[in-house]
Amino acid sequence: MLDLWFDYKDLWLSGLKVTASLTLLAILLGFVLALPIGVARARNRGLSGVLAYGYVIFFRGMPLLVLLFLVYYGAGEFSRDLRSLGLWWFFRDAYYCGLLALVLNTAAYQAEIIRGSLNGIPSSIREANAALNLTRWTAFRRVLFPIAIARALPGLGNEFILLLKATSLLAIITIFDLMGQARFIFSETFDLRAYYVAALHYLVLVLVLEWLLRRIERRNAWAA
Amino acid sequence: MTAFAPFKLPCAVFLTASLALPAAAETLRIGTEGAYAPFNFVTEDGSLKGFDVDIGNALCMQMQVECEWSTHEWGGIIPALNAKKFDVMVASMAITEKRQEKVRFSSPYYFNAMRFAALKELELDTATPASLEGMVIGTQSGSVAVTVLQEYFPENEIKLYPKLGEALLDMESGRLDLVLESKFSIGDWMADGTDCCAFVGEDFLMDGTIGAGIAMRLEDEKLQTRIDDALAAIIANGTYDDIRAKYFGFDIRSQPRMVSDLFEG
Amino acid sequence: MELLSLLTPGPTGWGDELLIGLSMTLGLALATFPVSIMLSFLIHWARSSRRRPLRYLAQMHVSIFKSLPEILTLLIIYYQSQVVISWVADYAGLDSTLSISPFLAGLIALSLVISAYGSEVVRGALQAIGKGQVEAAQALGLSRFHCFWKVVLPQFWRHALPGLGNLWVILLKDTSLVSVIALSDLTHVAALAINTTREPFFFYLVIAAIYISLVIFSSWIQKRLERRAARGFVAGGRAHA
Repeated sequence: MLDLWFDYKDLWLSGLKVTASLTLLAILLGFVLALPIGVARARNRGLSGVLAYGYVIFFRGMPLLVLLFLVYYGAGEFSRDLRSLGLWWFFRDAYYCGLLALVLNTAAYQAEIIRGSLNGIPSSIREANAALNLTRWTAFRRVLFPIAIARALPGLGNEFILLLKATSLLAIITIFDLMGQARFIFSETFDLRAYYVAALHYLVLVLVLEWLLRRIERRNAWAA
Repeated sequence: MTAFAPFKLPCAVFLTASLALPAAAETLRIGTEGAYAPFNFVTEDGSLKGFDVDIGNALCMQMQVECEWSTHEWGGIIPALNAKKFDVMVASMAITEKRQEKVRFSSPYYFNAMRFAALKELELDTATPASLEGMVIGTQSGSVAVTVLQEYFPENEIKLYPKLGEALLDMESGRLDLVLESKFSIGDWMADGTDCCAFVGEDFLMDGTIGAGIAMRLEDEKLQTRIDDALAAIIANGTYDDIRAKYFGFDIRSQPRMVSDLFEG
Repeated sequence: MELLSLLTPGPTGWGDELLIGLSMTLGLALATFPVSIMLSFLIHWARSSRRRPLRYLAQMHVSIFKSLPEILTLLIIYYQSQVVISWVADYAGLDSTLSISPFLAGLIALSLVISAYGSEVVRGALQAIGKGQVEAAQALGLSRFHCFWKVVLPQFWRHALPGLGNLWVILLKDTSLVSVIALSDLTHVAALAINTTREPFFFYLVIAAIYISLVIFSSWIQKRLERRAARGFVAGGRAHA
């Protein structure tokens, strides 16, 4: 199996880079999008609550594969309109389309994790905030938010791993990530070991990621 | 005499092989892609149609066996054949040396030449490595076109799609500048209601290919003889030409020129 | 309106093919789920077994199938299973043209993946029941089987339902991956339809709506089941929030 790795070393390494960059970008951008949605879900009031709920239902309800096709080939169908809106440079690129689908998907999951940890903060802390006369914004920014994030870390870490695996679907829309390279090498050689080599990459990536996450979690044990 | 089951709810969904049932008639399990019009495709009534399908059925009739069709992803169709998901592949697969290491081919049943199609707005009149500089070319993953592109267009960005139809959709939307694949399949697609694109340059075969063949597992030597005999018989008795005329108004068994003549000579 | 006509049943539209795709999706999910749960129990027992090799094996199963992308597991199972089948068939002296279908490959691959997560749901639920219950049952002289069947299992569902519901939804959506090995599930039928109609946005939106409805319906059922399983506990304030 090693020979198959060395024969296509450059391909595997570039695939590794694409997988890593997609995962990192998607988790970070997803988090930025998930924050307001998660807070709106936790408040669960008014229009923002309804919209956030709709968002979560919609993007968690469909398989990522379908979302991916919807964004990529759906956008292709409207290329003329997107061009006149000046958005085509974005949707033309399979990488951006794939990234967008990943971000929309992971934001829905991360929002639910954030909601859960916000809702799980004991009421005594809120009472303490009130007793200290903190404004709602200060209380959120300085107390509730840091606690919520620390408590959400295990969940977010899990989502990180799920997202890493999910990037493999982007191979279907022509992206040469690890899975894309494996598919290419498989179609060139008809050698099933290409998939085993890819599997080993993912296994190592997840193990390393798990180890890192465990270390971070240990530092945040205070919030549990 | 034909069974194609993806749209019938399978009772025996678990194992696709008969457990050596002494059936009244022998069945031949034929695999194809099902997404390669006009050769093999699934229509809105859920049935499998196309030139390959008609040829396969004619062969079964000639051999007096039952055809049992199944569809498979192109990228994994050779491993699927070798994994005994089916026994004979009638899927317009070009006979190449590399593939012959993995499967056995019948004699060629037609020549599937490839040709570039490009966005009309590019106003190309030739398709050479120089004239296509900087352009994005798409094709189907696992197609012989990939080899041609790697060899003669190494500077271009190449995008590979699981299905040819997806590459063509991406050319229509403008994500791709050109698609290189079967001139018949691209032609069929262009004739069907889009005027985004047009053929450029000449059609050609990849060096070393001797046309499209029917594939079997390496060990099935006897089956190859039977298929070859049946193929010769349907060509001789006119069945082949009747089928060909249904799809193409011209001969598809004459050999086009080779890619090396085009780009090297 | 023109688009909607693509969904009519019969020879001119894709409605009936989509319905059959839907039944394939549901059939695969419904067949896989009980297998996954049984496998989850087995893995949980192996992980808490006194025999070390068994523990390692179970741990490996969980690590591997939680790390590999589902699509990769599926492809490997689909193409590689033949080696195993041929070996078994030769050993048993059976016809070696036996081959596993995309449906069975999907069932096996998804069971392996879901059970890796499922074993943790099982562990959590059994922990929530507590050792005291088992000890009490044993003190009453119940056999191990009886203890599991009559004491543990009835309480198990109450604790495991949220986790299992979650797994079911994951499974339902993961079935879409079998479309890459050409099983005619909902997603594959949509791809075929798009190949001739060239309406990707419309068809993917339609099947997205179908998946979302299935998920919403599933969580409604789950809520009802949870309420049912919590009978007799609600008053005590231990119902799930």
